[in-house]
Amino acid sequence: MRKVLGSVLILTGCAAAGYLLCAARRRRLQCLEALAAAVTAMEAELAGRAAPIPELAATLSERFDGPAGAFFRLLLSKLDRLGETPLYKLWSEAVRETLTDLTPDERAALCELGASLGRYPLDMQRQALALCRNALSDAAAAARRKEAEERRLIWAFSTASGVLLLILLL
Amino acid sequence: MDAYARAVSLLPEDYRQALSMRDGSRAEELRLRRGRRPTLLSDAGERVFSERICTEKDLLCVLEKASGASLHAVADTLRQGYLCTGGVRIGVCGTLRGEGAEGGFLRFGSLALRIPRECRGIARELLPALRDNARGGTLILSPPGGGKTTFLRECIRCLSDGGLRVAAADERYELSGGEEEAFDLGGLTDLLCGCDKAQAVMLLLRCMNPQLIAMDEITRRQDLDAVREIAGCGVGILASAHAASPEQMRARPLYRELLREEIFSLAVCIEGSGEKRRYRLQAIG
Repeated sequence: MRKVLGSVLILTGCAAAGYLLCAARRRRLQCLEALAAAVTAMEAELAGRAAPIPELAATLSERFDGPAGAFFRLLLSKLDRLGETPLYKLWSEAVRETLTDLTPDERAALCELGASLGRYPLDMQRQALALCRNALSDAAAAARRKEAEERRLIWAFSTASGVLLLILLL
Repeated sequence: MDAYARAVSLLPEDYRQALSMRDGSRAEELRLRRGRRPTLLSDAGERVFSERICTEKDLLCVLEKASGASLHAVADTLRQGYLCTGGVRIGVCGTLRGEGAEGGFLRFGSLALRIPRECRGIARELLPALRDNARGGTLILSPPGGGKTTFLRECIRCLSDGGLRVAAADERYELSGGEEEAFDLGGLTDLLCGCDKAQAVMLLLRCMNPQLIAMDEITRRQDLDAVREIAGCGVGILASAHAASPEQMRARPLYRELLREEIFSLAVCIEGSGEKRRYRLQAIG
């Protein structure tokens, strides 16, 4: 009875590890997609009505859930320090603190966008937004392609490692 | 928070600490110039309030705070050399980009944070004459920084509270004190903010059925054209212009034209500064 219970626990543990790995990849994908959508929304708001950054952050924090929403909420709360700390630093802090699922390159693309926002003419800001949106969309497309392959691999690996562990222990 | 506190809150921290609230009662402007020490302008003149030399970073800090890190959102007014926040008008100087480019500056050189005031009672003595002339035209005259806008604001409030329907064109938010409408302009005042003066005057005339239209600073031909339009409509005009007296106005072709048309029959000349400021009525003719 104990052996059966132990086997079930080992298999469940390995499957859970596989599930968590898959979930982390899915979270990153969702985060990238939401951020690409948020950057598109920023482009529209800037092009349409030259919205000020605090207003933009407030609008997007309400419109988006998950890490993208959390990012804009944190940025909005940090804007109290404007003047003492420049926007690009506040933006980078918010990127580092909320978007932990992203790779360093993806975070760097977002930080680069922060350096252009607010200070330069609108057309330059829109160029920076387009660059960032493309980088995020490309990363999301690559992550989507990889996710299907990796999901199968992770499940296979986690199940196989569970079975291997059972054989070794029994 | 009063206008002085709002202006000070835009400065870098060490400059903020160097200024006391005591300075606020007489402060007219805070001035930051790249490569120079910052100064406070009052009726006693311009005095340095911190020994630390102002850098372009300090100017950017003020502008970033004032615009909410959104210079693009104030590009229109920045192109005209100023931006407004919380009733504080910030005059901007520096090197502009080439013509036709988005209204940005290549480099910022200096900033003048003008502190608006509400001086209740300054129009009291002249009020009967202004009321008598409410259906005609009254000009408020002084050189730049002489207190025209403060006096105009007080006239609007008094005439409005006295039962006159006043419509005010507030292109630079200086009359109202910003979008928060920090200043009381009277119970019967309709305000059109952020719109080109000449355009605003025509809109107010058509849409708000005013008895008196108030506008700050007649400076361009378009303003003069708008004044002409009002003149024949039985609506009074209260406006300000840069000049020490009607005689001095004649030196400028635009104002000469304005005087020749006899739209304004009364002038209030502001003389002196600070507590020694005097308001003198003069007939134009």
